[in-house]
Amino acid sequence: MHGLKIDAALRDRLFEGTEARASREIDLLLPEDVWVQAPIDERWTASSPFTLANEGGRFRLRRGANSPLDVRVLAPPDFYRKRTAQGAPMGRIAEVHGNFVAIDPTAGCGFGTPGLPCQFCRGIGNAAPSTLPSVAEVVEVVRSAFEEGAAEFVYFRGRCTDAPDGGVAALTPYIVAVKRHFNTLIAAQLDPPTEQRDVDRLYAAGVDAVSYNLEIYDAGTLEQHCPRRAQTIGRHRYLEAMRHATQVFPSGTVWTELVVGVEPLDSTRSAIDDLTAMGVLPVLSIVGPAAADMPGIVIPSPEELRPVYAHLYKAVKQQRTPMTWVRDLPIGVTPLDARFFVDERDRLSSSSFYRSRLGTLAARSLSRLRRRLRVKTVSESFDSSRL
Amino acid sequence: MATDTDFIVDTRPLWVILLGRSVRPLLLLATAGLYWLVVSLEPPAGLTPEGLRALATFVVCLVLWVSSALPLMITSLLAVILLPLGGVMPATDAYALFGNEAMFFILGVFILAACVMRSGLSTRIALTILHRFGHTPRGLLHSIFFLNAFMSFFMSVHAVAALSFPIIVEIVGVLNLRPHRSNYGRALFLAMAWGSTIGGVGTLLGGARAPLALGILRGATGESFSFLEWAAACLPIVALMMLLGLAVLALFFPIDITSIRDADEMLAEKQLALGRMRYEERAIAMVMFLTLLAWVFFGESYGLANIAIVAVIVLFAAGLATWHSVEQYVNWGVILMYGGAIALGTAVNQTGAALWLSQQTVSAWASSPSAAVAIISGMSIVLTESMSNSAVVALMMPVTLGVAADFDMPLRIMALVVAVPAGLAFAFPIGTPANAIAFSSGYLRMRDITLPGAVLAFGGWCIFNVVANYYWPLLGIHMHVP
Repeated sequence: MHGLKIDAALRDRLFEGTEARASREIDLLLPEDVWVQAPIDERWTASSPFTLANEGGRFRLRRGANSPLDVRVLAPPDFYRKRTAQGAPMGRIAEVHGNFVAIDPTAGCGFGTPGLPCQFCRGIGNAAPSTLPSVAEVVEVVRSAFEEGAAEFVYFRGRCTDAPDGGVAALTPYIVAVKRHFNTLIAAQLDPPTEQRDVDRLYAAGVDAVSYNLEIYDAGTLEQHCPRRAQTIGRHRYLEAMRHATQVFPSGTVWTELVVGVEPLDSTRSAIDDLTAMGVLPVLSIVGPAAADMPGIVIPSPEELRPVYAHLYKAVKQQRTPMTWVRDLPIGVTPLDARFFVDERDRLSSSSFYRSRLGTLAARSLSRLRRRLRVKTVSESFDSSRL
Repeated sequence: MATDTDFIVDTRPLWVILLGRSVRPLLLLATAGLYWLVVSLEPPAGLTPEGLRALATFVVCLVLWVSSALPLMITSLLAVILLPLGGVMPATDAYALFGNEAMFFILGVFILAACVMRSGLSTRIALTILHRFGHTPRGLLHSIFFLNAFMSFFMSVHAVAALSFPIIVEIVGVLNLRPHRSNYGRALFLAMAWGSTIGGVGTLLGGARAPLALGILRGATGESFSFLEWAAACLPIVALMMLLGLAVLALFFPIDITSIRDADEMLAEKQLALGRMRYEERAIAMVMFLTLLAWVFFGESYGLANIAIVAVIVLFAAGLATWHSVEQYVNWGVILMYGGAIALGTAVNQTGAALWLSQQTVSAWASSPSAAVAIISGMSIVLTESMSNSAVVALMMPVTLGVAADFDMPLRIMALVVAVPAGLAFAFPIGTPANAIAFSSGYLRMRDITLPGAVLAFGGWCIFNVVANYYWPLLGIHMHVP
């Protein structure tokens, strides 16, 4: 929302030798395993009340004169400084956020026009890359990230396409290759396809969790801020793709981002109600500082946000949708993160099993078993009918 | 990992899927238990210990063939090893039955059909006939119906359906016929499926059912049918079924278009693109024609399989075929399935199990040879709607040989009584590959196949029994041993 001030020396030390793209945001791990991503670009953070400093080897987050909070800073991993066998900087192919490595081989952002910077991207301006990384390069980067222990999961972002399949065909070779080489869970974020068969295709290829990021629920506001998406894709296609995905993917693995502050909070609440009733998990992100002075944008105060987050948690809890699959997304507040905004007695009792090595192994194994059961090869069914 | 188009995502509750997946291993375990139970029993009166063990193997195969818990050919392999392991017959005898003449006849027919298809001869024949006779909606519909039946006299049913399917898809495309809505579209695909199926019972070449029935018959009794005898017995059934098929099509799917000019032009273009008949096509047509004549006139003296294999050798010697080009058309699964079925049929019959089983079932229910034929043909038609045609033959033949002995009927008549009705599957997409191919067009709903198909199947049963009782005696195929 406000970003985070960070002194130049610390910035240089953290991001030395990395690509510029990685040095405009920073991921922090707050107490209770909550990941937060904060813009640190000085253009937007000059008036921020938050500062981050390294005091005696410990990172401390301060808000004005309040007492500091000890946090962990996700330092850019070593592989950002490496190059692939074909010579491309690895940091340009993948980024680590939370505990996943995010790869967007086909595009940068779904908000704007393909190839142009997005008005909501907090100043990142991540236009589509001019050349796509090869499948081998992506595998190489993921291997480096895993070997370094920088990430556990893989997150593909393939938005910003006019393809009717929402980019499934373009992403599939990467997904298949990563699944073939690594025993990991894969999430993907794409535009919704015109044919629901492409949602099936995504699951069959090996994706374990999927996001169709609607971002603005109110139809009029979507049309106002994202005319391309409203006209070429349309809200209906998002909702239909999510509805179908909840039938195909495991419960609690279909999510959508909603940007808080672009549309009225009441609209966000009704979005939460409608989406959770479909089995979709909303993840609430706040409009970034880059877009704060745009017309119609009202950044809500923390007091206004608190009941919205509480509503998010209660709505998901009421639908009994599992919350632990969609977690550790620094870009927004997941339903699991939102538990801190309700009274302790209203919280589901939770353990940290899902974060443990055994829990991760169980999640991977169950996901694999589920896919084996759900995805059937048609030719096998006709094994004997040719007689 | 599934390929791009070859998968479906099953969205039923996981417990339902798990339950479904557990059925197969449970069924296999239950089948093993059933085998053990049957062989542990004291042989009932009239059944030898070897007969009981043959019967146990038969029961195992019955369960597995009906349930498809294992692919049909794997069940057949299981039969071949259970027979020697169970002490029913020596291993050398069981494996030797794989070398049955019927197997080589089927192999030869597969290779000949492959050459015809690879050369483009079959496509040329199809396009020529359709373009020549199909100028009106009714003419095109009837042309497809009769063309498929005619081609199924010489090629296996599913090969004919697979050959004409893309042509019909193009026809409905250029005519802009709407899936699920157009009567004419539905009628065209059903004409393709039904024409192929009906024609397939006309000769020994239309499918592997008839050679399998003859193989089991020959293995058990040494008797057989000549090519001509079989065709003479079956072609009237085909003729009557064709008339019935046309009536059912007209009744259920009245033609709802008035012109097929676009389709006519498309067929003309395709025919034009084929150009003049090439040397390869002419030569293969000549070999096929001579082979047909040899089957008709010398089949009995030289053997159908020998003639088929000679024709294959001639094709290879003349450079008209290469192994690489034909091997993909040879369904080795069928070969394996038939080898096991023939071995099992022979064992069940030779040990007396067939006679004992028939006495407990069909012979107990029927009061006369005609009633027995009606029951057996009815059972074959019902079973073939949900089972592979060949599996029906493999199951029914051994039992019916026992029935024939009970009623003092000529044993060889049972090859016709089982194999012909086993080919008359019309009511479900799973009944035969031709129905499945038609259904896959997307033009047919389940009820478009089921009700008209059931009417046709019932009509087929009536026609078959009328022909068996009143026409076959004219050919010397009697219900009683003279």
